[in-house]
Amino acid sequence: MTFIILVLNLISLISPQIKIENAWMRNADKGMNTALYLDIINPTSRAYDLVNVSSDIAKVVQIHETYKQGDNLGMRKVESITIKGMTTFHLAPGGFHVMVIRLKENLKVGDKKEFILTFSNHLKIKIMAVVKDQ
Amino acid sequence: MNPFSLLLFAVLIFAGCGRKFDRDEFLGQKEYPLITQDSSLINFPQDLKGKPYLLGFIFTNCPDVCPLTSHNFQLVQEEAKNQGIRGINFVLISFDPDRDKPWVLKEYANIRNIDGSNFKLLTGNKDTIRALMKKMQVVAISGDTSKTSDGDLIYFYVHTDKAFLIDKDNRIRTEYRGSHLDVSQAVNDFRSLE
Ligand SMILES: [Cu+2]
Repeated sequence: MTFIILVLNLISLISPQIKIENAWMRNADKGMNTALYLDIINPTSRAYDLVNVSSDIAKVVQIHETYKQGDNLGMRKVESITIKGMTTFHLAPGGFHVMVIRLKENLKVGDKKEFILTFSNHLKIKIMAVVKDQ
Repeated sequence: MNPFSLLLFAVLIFAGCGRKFDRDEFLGQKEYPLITQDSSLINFPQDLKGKPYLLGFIFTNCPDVCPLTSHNFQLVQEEAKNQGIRGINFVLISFDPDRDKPWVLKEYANIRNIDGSNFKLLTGNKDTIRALMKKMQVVAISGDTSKTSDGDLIYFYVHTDKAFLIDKDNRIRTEYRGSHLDVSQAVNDFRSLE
């Protein structure tokens, strides 16, 4: 049994896995909203769906996209984001983002806060996002 | 300086002065009383007369697009300052006066490190803001609404992404996309209004 676990661990070490990089949020105060941005790197050959993001720092956390409607811009909730195999998906200002609504605490530049990203196959990835003032 | 760079210099100077603006519309005599982030009263647009300014619309609960607009305004402010362009103003008006009280705008300015020396964030009563938006042809429609588990209402706006360059005589001279503002273009435009 131990041997099998060891082998499985080794396989997971060798085989490429989905990775999150450059996670950051804009600074904001308690009660306000902010957005989380990050890159999802999928070096595997299969597609992954990001279906949920959660955190203790806000009352509500949702996956959103900013969209254009004529001259206007709006945001809407999306159920999931698909990251195709061998691609990187950027959540960036003015596009897809994670809405962090009604902060329970002040976010100061340099703070690091935990988020959990859930993908369609029950894969959960814990990340730390850094607060920036850009 | 060789003849070529002299020519280039001359062309650049000429281009700067000769900027043809695509609009020239007077904002009118009607006054819209608004309140600044420091809770002082301002009669828009009369009190802004005398200096060119960049005008935009935001709401502070907007976490994605509006910070891009405010940030772009700050970049233009900084670049104009670096280039020695003085006597200009920056104005952001909230289209969510229910929530954006002067102290909320003040907090927003502090968090975003806005240099308030020539940068005003304005709010006002609902009817005034609505009339002003109509005048500027800026719309903000509240989109999806939802509630948090403790009954706090969450709503966001679908809104116009416009910023206006207004000259010292309160005439609209051009408009930009607030969230995708070309900083050097806006600075050059300010320069040609000097
Ligand atoms: Cu959003």
